[in-house]
Amino acid sequence: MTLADVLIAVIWSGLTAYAVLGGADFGAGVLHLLSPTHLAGRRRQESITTAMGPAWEANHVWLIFVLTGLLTAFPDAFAALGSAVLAPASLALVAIVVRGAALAFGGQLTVADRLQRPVRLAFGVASVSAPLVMGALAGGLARQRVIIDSGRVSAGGGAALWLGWFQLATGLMALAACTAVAAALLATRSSGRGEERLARAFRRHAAWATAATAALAAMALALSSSEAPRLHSGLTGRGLPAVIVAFLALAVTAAALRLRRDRWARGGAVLAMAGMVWGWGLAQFPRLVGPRVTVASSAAPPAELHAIAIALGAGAVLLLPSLWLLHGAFRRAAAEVTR
Amino acid sequence: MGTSLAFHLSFAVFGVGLPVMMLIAEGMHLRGGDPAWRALARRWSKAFAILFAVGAVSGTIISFELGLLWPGFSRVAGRIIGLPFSLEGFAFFLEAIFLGIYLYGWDRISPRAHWLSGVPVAISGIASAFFIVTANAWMNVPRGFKLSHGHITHIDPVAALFNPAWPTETTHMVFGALLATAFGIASVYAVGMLRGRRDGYHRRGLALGMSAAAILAPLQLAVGDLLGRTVAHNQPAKLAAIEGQFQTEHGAGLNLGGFPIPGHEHAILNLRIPNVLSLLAYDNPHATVRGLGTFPKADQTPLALPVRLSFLGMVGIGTFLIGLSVWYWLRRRRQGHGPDRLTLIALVAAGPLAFLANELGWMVTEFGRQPWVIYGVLRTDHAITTAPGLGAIFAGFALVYVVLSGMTVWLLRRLATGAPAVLQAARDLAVAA
Ligand code: HDD
Ligand code: HEM
Ligand code: HEM
Repeated sequence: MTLADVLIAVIWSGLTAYAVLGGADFGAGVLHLLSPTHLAGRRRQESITTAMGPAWEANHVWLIFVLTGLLTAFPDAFAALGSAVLAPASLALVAIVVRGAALAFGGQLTVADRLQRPVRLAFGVASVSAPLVMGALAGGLARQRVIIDSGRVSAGGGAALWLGWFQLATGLMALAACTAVAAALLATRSSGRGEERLARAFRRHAAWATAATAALAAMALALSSSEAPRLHSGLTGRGLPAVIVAFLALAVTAAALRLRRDRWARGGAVLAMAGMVWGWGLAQFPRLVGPRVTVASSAAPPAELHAIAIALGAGAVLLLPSLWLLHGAFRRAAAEVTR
Repeated sequence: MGTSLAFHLSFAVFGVGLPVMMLIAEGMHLRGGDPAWRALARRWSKAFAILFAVGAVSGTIISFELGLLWPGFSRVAGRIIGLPFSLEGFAFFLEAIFLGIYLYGWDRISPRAHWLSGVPVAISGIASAFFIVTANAWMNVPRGFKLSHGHITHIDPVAALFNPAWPTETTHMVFGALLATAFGIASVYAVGMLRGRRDGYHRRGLALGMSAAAILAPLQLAVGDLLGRTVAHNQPAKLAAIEGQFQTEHGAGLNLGGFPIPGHEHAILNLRIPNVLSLLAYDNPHATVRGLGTFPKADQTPLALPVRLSFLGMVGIGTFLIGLSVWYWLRRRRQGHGPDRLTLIALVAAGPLAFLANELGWMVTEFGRQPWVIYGVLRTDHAITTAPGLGAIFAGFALVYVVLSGMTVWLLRRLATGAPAVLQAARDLAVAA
């Protein structure tokens, strides 16, 4: 294993963290949109926004970690990606921005404000579109059809990259998986607080979302044999263990939700998401963008890779204790609230 | 793209400056126990939460655009100077984490621990600026690699990081951000005083802003002068555009007008002070300053007029800010109960002007470097994407920015409504007692 392989694994772990944590944020937005506006629904919305509130900025940094990591360690892959994905990435970006802004502003608004409804709607719509577009984009990239010739996209870019039946399936799958993670998380939190009615509602959503994820994943897998043959052989080859883990985890989630084992359901949903991300990654390793841009061919020179590895280590030494402090502070605050 | 950066910058400036001001105010409370200081710090932390969120959102846009709009730049710069971009991500992460603790910690953790939790926020804000501006300094004075036949070899990321321009450029930026925040704060409380709110809360807010300003404004002039020398040594064509210098000259004078109008060979409306430019740029009154006209057309910035105007604007504002802080502190010794109307009006204007100076400074750097993105290495037209549909995307983001700015201003105005009620109540109690 080369240093470049290690770095791409670290970046892929960052992507996994984003899919789980950022995905939970998106899913929470979906649930927010789905919850009714009458009084009980409002309680549900409240519990969603308080669960999300302080964590948003920190969760979001994982995406930035992935982007800057690619820029620094795999500049050619980053440039190739940039040339190929302008439209869908801009769309996802707008959704992220609208969501972030709505969340930041919504926290300052009271129920009586006239702006409350449009902000809420914008938040919900953006939360649905972001995972949809990113899932479609991921599906499109996983097909490995983008060809880069001396810095320019010569085939496989444009609308054909992210608009298609296979991409629709992966987009919907991402949406469902995000919703499943969020609902399982919120169910755990509500039952932990003794709010059984809320927990039941979230469990119901989680069960539907888990079933949908499994169905869409199976569909995408089936479609891939004709729509994405390169990916298909990867998924049934090197990526197979991760694929199996993902399906097993979905089964565990469904069972745990029936048995009201919320923690197990949460763990299962998170593991399923991780399994999907790693299934994709392992299936196309060592190719990064299309068939030509690989880990080795796009990596920065060794001096830069070493500098990055050192910076990552130093960063982790600073970040991990800080994260621990943050979560400690919030847990204590939450404990006080329940008391 | 310039729009995104200019937008991001107006928030990034707060990200650097406001935590420092919060720490000072809260520290004053810790030392003297005066509740007004704590109330100030707390109010600022609320405003900062909003500004930070918008700053983060616009920063995310930028990191996308780096790949989407400037693939050519990413390919060249990523492998040499990518490191500070990643490090900026770390600094931002730390800032977000400790800001979370700081915001939630009011009333929950001990005052001293709370103050301490603010320290990493301030440090990482400054680190953020440091990393990004170091990358920009490298774009101005690229080092740490060899270029042979269009291929980049012998990459040394550390040498790239510590290029000759980093110390002055980062210091100038950090001071600029602190200065803009200091005058921004002074400006807010000057508005309050003009509306007749001359209580201790407003007086302290203004005094803190003006104390920081009085220290920083002269320092900024000195650092700006150093930065000008860095430019003179490394980017002579930029210097010529900045100074409106058309012909090569021994013992060049400082131009006090001198607008480069396209099609004219001479700077017009000029007034010059003999030998001063040579002295300022090269420490020698008889040094030679190369004129803009002597550079090949392909290496001259096509934006000489905006560069010159922005530079004059920045220096003009800087001079005004120094003058204003001197004036404020001289008058204050004589007037016990706050400044007079005219001074207050000048202070209100100073806040936005200090922000403008930052934006103008960036225009100088960026327009002045054209036609290069990486000076002498990569031309701008090779860096930018060739993908179709740029116009629509650009319009979309412009719209996003307009909406974001509108909402931010609206929310901040809602926050800024006089001294908090708790303080008012405390004062009423004190009066009653
Ligand atoms: C409050 C803000 C502010 C103020 C009062 C000043 N500046 Fe400035 N200036 C900046 C904020 C700024 C900036 C936005 O921060 C820049 C843009 C890039 C940078 O690093 O700093 C900048 C750039 C910049 C450059 C271009 C550097 C380059 O292209 O590499 C020069 C030569 C100066 N400044 C010089 C001055 C002088 C002589 C000033 C005299 C008062 C001055 N600045 C006041
Ligand atoms: C408020 C601050 C800034 C403003 C207003 C600004 C504005 C601009 C403008 C107008 C251009 C030239 C575009 C052209 O002539 O085609 C440019 C180019 C560029 N600047 Fe900045 N800039 C700012 C800060 C920065 C910073 C901090 C960085 C990086 C560290 C940066 C990186 C770049 C790059 C990479 C380009 C070339 C990209 C392109 O060609 O579009 N800029 N900037
Ligand atoms: C005055 C100092 C600053 C300047 C000139 C500046 C400029 C930039 C530039 C050019 C980028 C794009 C490069 C990249 O992708 O890394 C960027 C990214 C970003 N900035 Fe800033 N920034 C400054 C300070 C801050 C502060 C204080 C914050 C915190 C609110 C912030 C938040 C971000 C975020 C979240 C990103 C995207 C993350 C990243 O890419 O690392 N910036 N900034």
